[in-house]
Amino acid sequence: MNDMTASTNLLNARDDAWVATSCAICYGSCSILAHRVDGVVVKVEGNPESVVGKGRQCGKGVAGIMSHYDPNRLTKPLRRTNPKKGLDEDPGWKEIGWDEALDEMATVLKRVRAEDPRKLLIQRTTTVTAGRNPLYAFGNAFGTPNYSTAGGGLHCGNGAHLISGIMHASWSVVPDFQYCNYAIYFGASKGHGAGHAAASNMKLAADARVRGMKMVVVDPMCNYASAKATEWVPIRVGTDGALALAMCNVLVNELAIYDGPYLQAKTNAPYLIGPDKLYVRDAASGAPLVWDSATGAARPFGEVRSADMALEGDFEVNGVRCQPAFHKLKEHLRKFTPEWGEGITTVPAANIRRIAAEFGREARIGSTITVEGVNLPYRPVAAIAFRGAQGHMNSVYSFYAIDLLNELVGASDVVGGCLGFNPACNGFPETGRLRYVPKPDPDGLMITGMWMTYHYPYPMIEPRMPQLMGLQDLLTLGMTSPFLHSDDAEELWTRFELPYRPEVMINFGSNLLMSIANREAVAHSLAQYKFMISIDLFETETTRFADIVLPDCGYLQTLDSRSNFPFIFSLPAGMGEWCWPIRQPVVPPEGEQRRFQDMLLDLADRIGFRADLNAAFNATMDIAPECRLQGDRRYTWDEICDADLKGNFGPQHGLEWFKEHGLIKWPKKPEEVYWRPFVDVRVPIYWEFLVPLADKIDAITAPRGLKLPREYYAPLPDHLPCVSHCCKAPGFDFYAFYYRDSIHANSFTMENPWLDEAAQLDPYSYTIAINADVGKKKGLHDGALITVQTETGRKVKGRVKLTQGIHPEGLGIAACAGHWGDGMPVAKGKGVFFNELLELDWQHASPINLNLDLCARVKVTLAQVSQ
Amino acid sequence: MEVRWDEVVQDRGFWSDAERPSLATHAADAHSRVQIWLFGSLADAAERPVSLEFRGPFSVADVVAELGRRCGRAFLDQVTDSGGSMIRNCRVFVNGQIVDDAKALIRTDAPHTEFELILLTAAEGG
Repeated sequence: MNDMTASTNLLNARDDAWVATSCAICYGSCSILAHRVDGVVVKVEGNPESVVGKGRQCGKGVAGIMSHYDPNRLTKPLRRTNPKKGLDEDPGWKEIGWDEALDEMATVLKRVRAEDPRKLLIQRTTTVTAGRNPLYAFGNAFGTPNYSTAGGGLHCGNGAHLISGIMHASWSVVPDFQYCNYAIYFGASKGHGAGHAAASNMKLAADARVRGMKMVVVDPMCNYASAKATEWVPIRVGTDGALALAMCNVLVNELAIYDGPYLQAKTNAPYLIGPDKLYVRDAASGAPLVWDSATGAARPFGEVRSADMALEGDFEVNGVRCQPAFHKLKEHLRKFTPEWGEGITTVPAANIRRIAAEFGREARIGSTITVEGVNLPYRPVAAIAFRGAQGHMNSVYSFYAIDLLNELVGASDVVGGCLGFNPACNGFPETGRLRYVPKPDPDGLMITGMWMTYHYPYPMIEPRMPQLMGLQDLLTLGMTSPFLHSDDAEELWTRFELPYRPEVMINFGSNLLMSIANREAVAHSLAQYKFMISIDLFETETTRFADIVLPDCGYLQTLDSRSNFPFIFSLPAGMGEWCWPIRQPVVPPEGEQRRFQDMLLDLADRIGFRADLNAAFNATMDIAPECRLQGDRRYTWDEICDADLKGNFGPQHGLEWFKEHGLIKWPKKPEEVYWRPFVDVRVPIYWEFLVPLADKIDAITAPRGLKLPREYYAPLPDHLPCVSHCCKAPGFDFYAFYYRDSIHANSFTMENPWLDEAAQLDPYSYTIAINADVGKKKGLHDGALITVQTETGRKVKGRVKLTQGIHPEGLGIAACAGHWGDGMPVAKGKGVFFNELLELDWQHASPINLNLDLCARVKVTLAQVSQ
Repeated sequence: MEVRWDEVVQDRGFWSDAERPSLATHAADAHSRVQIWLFGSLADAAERPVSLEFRGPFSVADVVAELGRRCGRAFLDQVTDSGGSMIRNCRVFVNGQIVDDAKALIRTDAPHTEFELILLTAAEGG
C-alpha cells in the first residue's frame, strides 16, 4: 500500500455525520442536529425539520457541547468510604466496578423491598424530561409511591401546573402567539429563552412582536421578558394576584366587559350557589342547578340552553336563597378596587384601570375568525403567569386570579387567547394512538385528557391519612412537596402517623442540596438516609452525600423514544404540526459511563422483579397491546424504545426508522388547537369544590393539632400575603427574590465554560441587583460587597449591581448560582446562592398546594472584605 | 358586531368518541375464567396469577371486589377510595387493553381473560 492509497482510504473512512437527536440541557428538549466528525461532536444546531425548537437553539443548547466534553464528567462508579455525611465531610471516594456497585445496591434494595418498598424515594432532575418513564417504571415496579423532582418541581409549578390543568387541561399556558394582539405576562418568561418549548416559543414570540402584539410584563425586575416588552409594570414581589383581582374588578364592575356567552357555556358561572357556599343541586340527579330564564325555574345545568342560563340575580330554590356563581364573583370582586390594588402592589391605580381597559377592549368579545376553513371565536388577548407570580404561599389564588382575566373575556383556548399546551390531540392518523381530549365530570367540570402523572389537578383525590412522605395524599392540591426534606418533616410524619420512614434514595441528576431551600435543612435530611445512590454527570454538592455514585451518559450518548412526550409539556401550542422526536446516541460513553436506563434494567434483574418492571413499562408508557413487553423477558432499553415507537406509529416506524429520520410529524387541525368550543366541558370560575375538600382535610388535621387555614380554601380568590409581607422588623426593607437567568438551566449549566463566560459578561448573572436610587441612598455602589440577611439570620454575600430596572423594594439574584463543591470547578464560587435565604417548613409552605414561599424579607449591610 | 360564538361555531362531531371495537358480549350465563396478575406494590397481596371464575357479564369493579374478598381490606385500600371507586392511578389492563371505566362490562369471547393491575405514580411536579 503506497502513501496515496492510505490517504485515500483514510478520507473514505472518515466519519462525518449529522445526527438528528434532542437536546437535554434544559427540559425544553429541543430537536437538534449534532455534527460528528471522526467520532467527535464538533457542532450542535437546531433541527429545522422539527417543530420542537423550530430549528432554533438557545445559548445553552449551543454550549451543550462543552458540558458533554467537560473533563470533570464522572467516568467511573464510586463508593463512599467515610460513613459520616455532612456539608463538610469528605466522602472518601473509592473507584469500584459496575458489578460491585450493582450488587451492593441490589442487596440493599432487595431488603427494603421485602420490608416496605415505600422506604425508597426516587428523586429526579426536571432537566431530562425523558428520565420520567424509566424512573417511574422502576419505582412502580419496585412498589414505592415516593417520587419527587427536587427544587425543579417544588419551585416551578405547584400553582402553575395545577391551575393550568384545572382551567386549560395543560401543564402550562402561553399566548396564542400567531394571533394574540395583547399579552400580559405575570412573572413568566415564555418565549424569552426559558421554560417549556423554550426555543420554539422564542421564534413565535419574536414573530408576534414583529407582527405588532403588545406585551405588558408585570415583574419586579426588568430583564428577559420585560426588557423586550411594550410596557414593564414593576410590582412588589408576591402581589401579582392582587393586581389581577383589581383588574378583574375593573373589567366586571367598572367597565362591564365580560363574555356572557362564554361564561354561560364554558364555565360554572351560571351554577346556583347557596348560603353554605355550595352548589344548589337537583334532588333527584345531584346535578348543579342553574336558573333557566326561559322557564323562570331552576333546572339541572345539562337540561338548559346555555343562552338561557342566568348569570346574575337573586333566586329562591326549594326555600334556599341562592345566586349564580358569576353573581357571587362580581360582588366578591368589588372590594378589590384599583386603589386597594395600588396599596398592595404599588402599581398606580390609574395604570391598573388603563391596563384592564386595554385588555378588555382588545379582547374583541363577540368576534369570530376563520382558521383553515373552521369558524372560531376570536379573543386576541392572553394573561399568562409562571414561576414568578405563583412561587409564593399565595400561589393558588394568584394564578387563579390571573387566569380569571382570560375566563372573563372568553380568551381561553380560542384563537388569539390564552392557550394550554396541546390539551387535545386527535391522535396519529395512521394508528389512532395518542388520542386524548378533556372530558366533563358529573358536575360538568373539566378533567384533563392528558397529564404528567395520575395525580390529576381535578377532581382532587380524596384526602386520607398520608401514605406519601410528601403528604400530597392529605393536602391533595399539592404536587411536589417540601416535606420530604423540611426541618419539620419528622414532626409532620409523626403527627400524621406515617407508617414508615424513608431509608434509601435513588437520585437521578438532581442537585437538591442547592435547588430546594437553605442547605442546612436539606443536608440534614440527606444525612438521615441509610443508603443513597446518585446517578450523575458531575459530582455535585448533593452527590457528596451518596453511598454509591454512578456515572451517567449525557444527552449526546443516550437513547429516549419519547424526548418530548406528553405534548402538554414542551411541544409548542398553537397551529402547526404535532411532532414526536427521539433522542439517540451521537457518540459512545467515555470510560465506564453507562446509560441509567440500562443500569435500572440490570438492577431490577439483580433484585428479581423484571416481570413487574415489564408490566410497569407497559403501563407507564401505555405500550400498544400488540407491542407489550411479555412476562419476565429481559428486554434491552433499545427493545423497549422500539416497542414504544412501533406501538404508537405502526410496525414500519420502529427505532431504526426513527434513528434514520429523527422524528415524525403530522398536521394539527383547528379543532385540536382551538378545542374549547367543540368539547362540552366547563371550567370553574367559582371553586366550590374547595369547601368540602377543606372539611375533609380538616377532619384529619384538626384532631392531630393542626388547624387548616380556611382562608386558603375559600371558593373565590383573595390576596393572601406571604410571610415576607408580614415582616415588620426595622431595616428589613427589601424583598429578595430570584429570577431565571435564561442562559442557565437548573444548576448544572453553571459548570459550562461558555455559559460561565457569557455570565461573566452579563452584569447581573453573578451579582445582586438593587434599585439604583434606593441603593445610592444606602451608600451602595456597583461592586460593593454586601451581606443580605433574613429575619431568621440566614445570610448570603455578593457584589451589588445597581439598576433602574428593578422595583425599589426588590432585591434580585439569578437562580442556581453559588456552587461550593469541588466537583464542578468552573461553577464553584460563581454568583450568589439565593436558596440559602429560604426557610423549609410548614410555616413557609402553602397549606393548600404546598408551594414553598420563594421570597424573603431581608436587610442589606456592607460586608467587610476580609469576611 | 357582537355575536354568540355558540351560534356561529359548527360542531361537526370532531371529538365524538368512536365506538371501541368489541369482540363479543357475554351471554347472560357465560362462564369466564380470569387470570389476574398483580404487579408492583400490589404483588404482595396474592401469589400471581390469581384465577377467578365469573358467570355472566362482569366488570373490572366486579373483579376488584372479588379480589378484595380474597386478599383482604389492605388490598382494597390500595386500589379504591372510601366510596369503593377505583383510584385513578390504579391501571387495569384486560388482555393488554387499558380499561378506564371500572364499571364497564368486559367484552371478550376469549376463553381466558388476562387482567393486569399495577399502581402508578400519583404525585409529581416539575
